[in-house]
Amino acid sequence: MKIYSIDYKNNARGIYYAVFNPGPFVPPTQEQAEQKSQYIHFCGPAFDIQVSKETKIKGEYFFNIPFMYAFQDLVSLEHNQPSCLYHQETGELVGYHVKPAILPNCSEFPNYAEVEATRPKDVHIFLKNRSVPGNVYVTELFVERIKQHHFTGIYCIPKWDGERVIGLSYD
Amino acid sequence: MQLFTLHGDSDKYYYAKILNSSAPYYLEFLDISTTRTRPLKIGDYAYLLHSSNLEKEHKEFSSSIAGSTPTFSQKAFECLKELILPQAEQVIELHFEDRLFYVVVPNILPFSDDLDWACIYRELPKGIHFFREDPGVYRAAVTNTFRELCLKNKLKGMDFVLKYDSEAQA
Repeated sequence: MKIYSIDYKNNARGIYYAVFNPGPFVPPTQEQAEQKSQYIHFCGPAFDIQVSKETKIKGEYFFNIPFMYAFQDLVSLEHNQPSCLYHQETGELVGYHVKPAILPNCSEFPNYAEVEATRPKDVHIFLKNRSVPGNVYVTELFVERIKQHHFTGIYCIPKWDGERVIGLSYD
Repeated sequence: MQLFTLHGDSDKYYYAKILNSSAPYYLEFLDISTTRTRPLKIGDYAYLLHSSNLEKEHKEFSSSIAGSTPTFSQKAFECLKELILPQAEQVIELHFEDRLFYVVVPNILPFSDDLDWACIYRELPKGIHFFREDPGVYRAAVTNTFRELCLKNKLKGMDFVLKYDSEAQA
């Protein structure tokens, strides 16, 4: 399967410097997903999570409610550990916290072929290098889903076509 | 003779990041623009977006390696090694997929005025085509011999900025 790097364009609307309360994962309903979200569809580490009265931790990836509704079958409960995020004052569900999966049987600095060979079939958003949190990748299915739902503000750059690295120009 | 400074062409080619802080070192190529939606290419010359990992465990690297320190693909290294190896202060191997890249720190040569390219041209020892003229710079200075070898071998990702042309001066 093809592998893409993923990032988001522009700003992380509603997310920058926000602090949310966490809660166990409850999948969004269709009714919730149909309501317009004031938050960006998808963004990286730009928010904090209040895990106790005194302690905040850095959030990893944010999916708003419509985005999670569209991707819930591509988010692994085991490997991506999704959780709900609630507004601190209103208690309203604002979105979901998703961790990029660490590929369990993969070496620390794998090539793309090893990544694809060791990726659990239910993992579609993951780290290529477990010690390098910035390098997040997604599968072709994930990218197709973005296109299918016309989610904007996200860009995916092809890195591996299933057989070869994309972009090599020197040989 | 012409003298150039050597840079990466980051409009068309990816930046690279060194991922770890102890050998063997691994490299990854990154998108850094939040507006670019088309993939870039991996060239024969990489601009190191992050070299700081090298510095964490190897203090001796910290003063000599930065983003613009020349980093060559294996093909470029093989083509250029006769010119760069005699003038390399350090060479560090970087792994990417089944390929190698090389960080090459150019020697610093002493010049009586390292801001004056005419002076550098006059004082440059014969047979040297790859060097640094100042400890404060990390990119290489090269001659037209170096550039022509790159062009002959169709090496990609390099950008040469002309600093001095002895024929034009004459």
